[in-house]
This record gives sequence, C-alpha cells and structure tokens, in this order.
Amino acid sequence: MRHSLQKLLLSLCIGLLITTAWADEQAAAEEGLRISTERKVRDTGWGDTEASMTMVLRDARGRESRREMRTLTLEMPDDGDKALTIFDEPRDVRGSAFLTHTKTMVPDEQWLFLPAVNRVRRIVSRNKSGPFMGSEFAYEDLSSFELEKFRFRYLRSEALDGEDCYVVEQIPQDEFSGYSRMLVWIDKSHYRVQQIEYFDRRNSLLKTLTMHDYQLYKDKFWRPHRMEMVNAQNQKSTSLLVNEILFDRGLTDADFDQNALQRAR
Amino acid sequence: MRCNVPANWPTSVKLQPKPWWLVGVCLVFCAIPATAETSRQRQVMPDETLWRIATEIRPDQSVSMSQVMQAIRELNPQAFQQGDPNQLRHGVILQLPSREQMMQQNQALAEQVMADARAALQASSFRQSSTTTQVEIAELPAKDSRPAVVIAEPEPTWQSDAAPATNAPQIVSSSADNTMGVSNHAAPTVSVTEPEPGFWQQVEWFSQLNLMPRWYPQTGLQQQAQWHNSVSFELEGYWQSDDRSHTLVFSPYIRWDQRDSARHLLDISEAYWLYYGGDWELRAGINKVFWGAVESQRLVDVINQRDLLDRPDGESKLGQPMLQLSLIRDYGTVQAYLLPYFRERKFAGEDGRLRLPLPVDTSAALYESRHKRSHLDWALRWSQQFSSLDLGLSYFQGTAREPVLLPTEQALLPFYPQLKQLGLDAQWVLGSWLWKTEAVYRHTEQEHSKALVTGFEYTQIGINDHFWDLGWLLEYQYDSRGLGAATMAQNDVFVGWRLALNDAAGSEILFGMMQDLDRSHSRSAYLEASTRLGERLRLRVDGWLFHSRYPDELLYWLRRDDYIQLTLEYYF
Repeated sequence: MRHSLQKLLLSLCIGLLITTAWADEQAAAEEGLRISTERKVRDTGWGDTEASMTMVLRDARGRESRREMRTLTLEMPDDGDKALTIFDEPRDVRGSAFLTHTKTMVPDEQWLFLPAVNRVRRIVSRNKSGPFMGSEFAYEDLSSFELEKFRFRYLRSEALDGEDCYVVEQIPQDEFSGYSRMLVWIDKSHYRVQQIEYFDRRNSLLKTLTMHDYQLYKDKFWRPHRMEMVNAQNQKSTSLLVNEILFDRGLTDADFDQNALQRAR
Repeated sequence: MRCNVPANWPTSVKLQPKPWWLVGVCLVFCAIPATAETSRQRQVMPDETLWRIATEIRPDQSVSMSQVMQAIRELNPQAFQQGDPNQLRHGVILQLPSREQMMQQNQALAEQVMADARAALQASSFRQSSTTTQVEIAELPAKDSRPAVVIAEPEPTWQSDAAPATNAPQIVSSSADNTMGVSNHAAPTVSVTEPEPGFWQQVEWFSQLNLMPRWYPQTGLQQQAQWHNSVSFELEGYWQSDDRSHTLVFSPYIRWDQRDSARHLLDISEAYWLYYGGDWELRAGINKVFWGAVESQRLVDVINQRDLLDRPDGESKLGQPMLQLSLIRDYGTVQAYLLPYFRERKFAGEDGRLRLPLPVDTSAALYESRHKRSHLDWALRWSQQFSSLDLGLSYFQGTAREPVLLPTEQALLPFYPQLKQLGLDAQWVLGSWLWKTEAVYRHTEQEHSKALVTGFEYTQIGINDHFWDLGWLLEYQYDSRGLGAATMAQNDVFVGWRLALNDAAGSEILFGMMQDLDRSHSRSAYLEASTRLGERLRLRVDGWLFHSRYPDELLYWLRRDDYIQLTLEYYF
C-alpha cells in the first residue's frame, strides 16, 4: 500500500516535470514566433528595391575573387517576394540573370537567363542549399524571410557587440534545406538580425553570418550594408557589400517575369 | 544541347608551333590584371571623393596630390565612370597605391589630368549657371572661408532613373568635412543639377576574343589537315534609356579560320532597338531567338539559321532580321514575328572538316519561293507559366532553315523549301526532376513529318562535401522521316551527365551520348567542360566522337572527324 503511494507520488512528480517542461517548450516556441513575427512585421511594407552589390569571395588561403551584381526585389503581400539578380562580373557571366519567385507553401520557382544563347532555363527549385555563384552564401540564405518556412524557439537573451539581442532557434521546415537549424541573434531595439549561425544536417556549426553597417531607409526599414559569411568548416569566407539600395523604383510583377529576365542585361 | 552559363561563341585557333600564336597567348595572359596581389584596400563610402581619399593616404609632402590621385586612378580604372576622376563610384573597393606607385606617376602629366578634370567640372558648372536657373548660392561653410567645390560621385549608371548617369560632374553644396579647396576657383559653393549626358557616353561596350585550337586525331576522308585553328571577336554595344523603356544593342562578330575560308564569318549577331511599354515589347532589327526545352536537340527553335561551322550541334546561330511584337497578358505571352530576310546555311569548304564527301555549292542555292531570300516569313508563339509548368506553342511559316541537299555531279545544291511548322515545348518541375518535351509537326510540298524529343533531367544536389551537383539526363528522340533522313535522331536515346562544381571558378562538365536504337553501330558523344581562369578568362574544352557504319546516314561521313577543341575566351 505504502509502496503504491510512493509510486503514485513519483509518477505525479514526473508528470508535473514533463508538463512543466512541455509548458516551457510551448512558451519558448510562442516567444520565438512572437519575436520572428515582429521581425517580419517591422520589415513589411517596403514595396520594392533596387540594389547594387559586390561579393568578395575568399578561399582558405585568402585569395579573392569578385562578383558584381544588381538585384531588383518586389515585396509580395500574400506570398514570398520576387527577386531578379543581374550579374555584371565576372565578365564571362555578364548579362546572366537569375529570377526567383519565393513561395511560402510550395517550392520556390527559379529561372536562369543565359545571354549567349538568349535562353531562359528553368532550374529545379530544390537547389537551395547549393552555393550562390561559388560563394559561401547558399541560395536559401539570400531568399526572403518567410515565417511559414521555419519553426521557432526562443532560447535566451544576450548582448552581441553591445546590442541586447534575443537568440532564437529557427528550424527549416523544407526537407531540401541544407540546414538542421539556425541560431538567429535579433536585436531588441529594432528587431534586426545581427548574426546567424547555420548548422549543417549533421548538426555541426557550418557558417556564421554577421550583419554590419545597418542604415535606416524611409524612416522605417533597416538594411545592412555589409554581410560577412564565414565558413567554419573550410575557412572560406564571403563578404557581401551593398553599394546602394534605392526604394520605390516603381517595380511591378511585369519586371519579374521571363520577359523581364530576357530584357535585363 | 548546350546549357552552360554563357556558352558563347566558340571558334578555333591552331596550335601548331607558330610563334605568332604563342605571342598572342602571352599578350592575353599579360593583360590579366594581377588580382592575386594583396595590397591595401578600402571601400569608397557614399560621401567620399577622390580628393578626400587621396588626402587620407598621401604619405608625405614629397608626393603631390595629383600623383596620389593619378595612382589611384591607374590602379582602379573600374572605380570611375567613363574614367572621369570626378565620378568615383561609391561602394567600390579601391586598391590603394604604394608610395612607389605614386612616385612613378609623371608629375606634370598627373597635374594636367587633374587640371583637366577640374576644368571640366568648372566648365559644366559654368554652363549650368549660364543656361539654367538652378544655381543656388549656398551658405558658405562656417569653418572654411575658402570657396569649395566637391568632385562628387554620380549615381552608378544602371540605376539612373532619378538622376541620369552622366559624365558631367555634379557640383554639390559641400559641408566643411568633405570640402576640397580649389585654389584658382573663386566661385562660392554651388548646387547644380546635372545636364543630360551625351548618348555616346552612355553606351557601354564589351568585347570578347576567343582563341580556338581544334585538333582532329585523324586526317579527313579527303586528307584534310588535323589542326584547325580559328579566332573570333565579338563586340557588344549596349544602351538603355533612363526609364528603361528603350534599349539599343549592337553586336558584330567576326571569325577567322586557318584552313577553311568557308568558316570565315563577318556577322551582325545582334543589332536591334527594343521598346518596352509595360505589358508589351517591340523589337526591331537583328536578333537571336531561343525557343525550346530539351537538351539533346533543337526541334521547335526555328527562327534563326544555325551556324553549324561553329558548333556541329547547332547551338550557334546567325543573326536574323526581324520585327517582333510581344504582348504580355494574363493569358500568357503572345509573340508575333515578321522575318523579312533569309540567312542561308553555311557549309564547310573543301579544306574544312565535318562535311559530306561532295562540297555544297552555296553560290547556287535553290528556293521554292520565287522571292528567294526576300520571302516574308512569319511566326507566332504563345507561352505561359502555370506554377511548376512552363508551356509554349508556336507556329512558323516560311523558308525552311534547313535545306534539302540535292546531288549533282560535282556538288550538292542546297534547296530551301517552304515550311509550315507547328511546335510544342513544355517543362515541368517536380522536386529534383525536370521533365521536358518538344514536339513538331512539319509540312512542306515534299513531305509531312513529325518529330518528338522527350525526357528528364534529375539533379542530385550536393553530392559531396564540395557541394557538387550532378544532373542525370535521359531523352528519347523520334523523327517520322526515319533512317537516312537529314536528322541523326530518328529513333535514338540520349544519355547525359551534367556536373556543376559550384566553385568560385564556376566549373562545369557536361557529357552526352546518342545511341541509335535501330542500328547498333550508329552513335555519337560529346563533352563540354569549362572553368574560369582569373576574372577575365574562361577556358573551355569541347570534344565530339562520331561512329557509324552505315553510308546512308550523315554520321557515316563524320566518322573520321572526331575532334577536341580548346577555347580560350578573353573578356575586356
């Protein structure tokens, strides 16, 4: 009799612990989603942008190569954003253009325009974990942030370079993502991403992305002007320098279809 | 069948130990900028000028400001629009000169260049002040009583909507911290809008030089040589209006071949005006059009004549004069083409390889239409994207691009019938699978025929730690014209592999094989590989193997023409 009472008490305790843990987990998920939603909300309504960018690729020995490109972006209120990237350098790919229709629920749609043959080539959309132009950025690192693509978990708060930040774990929902999870540092003052750690499918640290030189546009939207991606496994790194961003360029859907891809250059 | 990123214009050059060729290669290599050199670097911030940067890095009084600025310009020609020292692009990374490099600058010359730049600046401000009323007398900087003019940065050319890219400098009202004193200029600080730049200054020019040695392991059926080298050069001029509604493209192409004068080519590959009106486009001039989806053949792609002398697979094309109207609507894109002039196909000459035993007499081409080359051809195409499906339907009516070769005693005569062709092309993405189909129905006075190519490309992403992608290609080719027809693909299977290394050099390898299902000894294979060498060079390797034991097919006459070609592409 006494024995069974002990058993009952023990199971109650365990049950309570599990419930508490589960409740904590729920709370962490809700807080993670709240922070990420706020991050998304604060970056909503920017309309369209046009940016010129330089990528500097460094191999493990420090040798550099450069990419020059321009990116047009259109915010889609009810779906993922559309982006058109035109390459200027290296010269052998000048005029090549890459069009992405980011989707929240279905795979992204992607096309590549090859000027030498005037051909638009459809690309299989699961190529998201692949390197973008041989850089340390994967295609998925450059696509627009959509809440539907992740599960979130708030981990802790900590200071990063003097900025008070939330640390949120992001778990990609897409089976074709190259990552098992990401840790995202979001500052409390403006909900800007300050740092992202990417973990590969084996759950070891793959890359670290840091954002620098944030500037405010239209009194509302923060944009980093320098992004540094460092690969922890192969010692390569890529700097993405944003030379200029212009807002309100009057872009429409028509600037993001296959005809626009052929006109781009 | 080519799908590498900019597959571009191959040509060939010979590799025999002739000194001139080596000299050419050396020159090309010497012209590559020394990118590996890790000197000091610095990014240009939005409010910075050449003068300000020069002030910052000037080592001591013995080096003049002009020398510093000139040295920066020499090391960073790309950082200045139209080479104008007044037009430093922001955001660019500058290579900073060493003291030695500054000292090497000819003092007088550097002074002169900078004086000219200042003069241009002043002249433009003067022009502005005398012709417009935009000049405002701004407040003088409080801390600095000297007059101030800033050598200012313009917008980069590509985003020139609000402020047109210009070679005329912009004079801005300067604050004390970015003030550059110009001692001989006594005007107060002025704020002036820029004048319209000249058309020619807005045109961007790009060039590409290809050296193409090609080697055939065997001599030809008629003892043609094994080494065939060629050189080609392509220029491109590009202009777009500020609102992007007007575009002009001009792109001449020239090719020279060592052995076969029939391979010499002077062509306009593109020369057109494009007007974009929101939901419609109009193109007028010479252009190249691509239709299609599959990898191993070009069935529906019928607008341009093919340049088979450049590549035997027909991926190279000759420019086609046309008027093209595109309507971009919800129900899809409708394109209408008027093609007023016909380009004849070119064939290898007597000394050339990859040809039939009898030469083709291109001087005596025959036409079904009495209008010959001037027959007005036309075409229509509708295309639409349904999320994961891209679909196209096309119709062409006019002179067939592919001639029928009529044998005479000494030569083959090309005969160009009138053709009506209905085409369908489709691509369907399903995860890692890309399903592709092309089908045509052709009608000429002589025959009706159908052809189909269908298959898939399956891509394995990141097959190793280096993130290589491997694509598997399988396609089936059918042509109702059957054996002995001009086509080599009447009942054939194509298998291919595409490997993308995803490295900084953008290296790619594509290998493909075609096997006839009716005839075991009829097949061909090709290899295409390319990689980037530095920022301005790309090296390609292309190879073909041909095998056939059946004299009634075209492939049989190519059986000794296996070859491998290197292409060194230099961009400048």
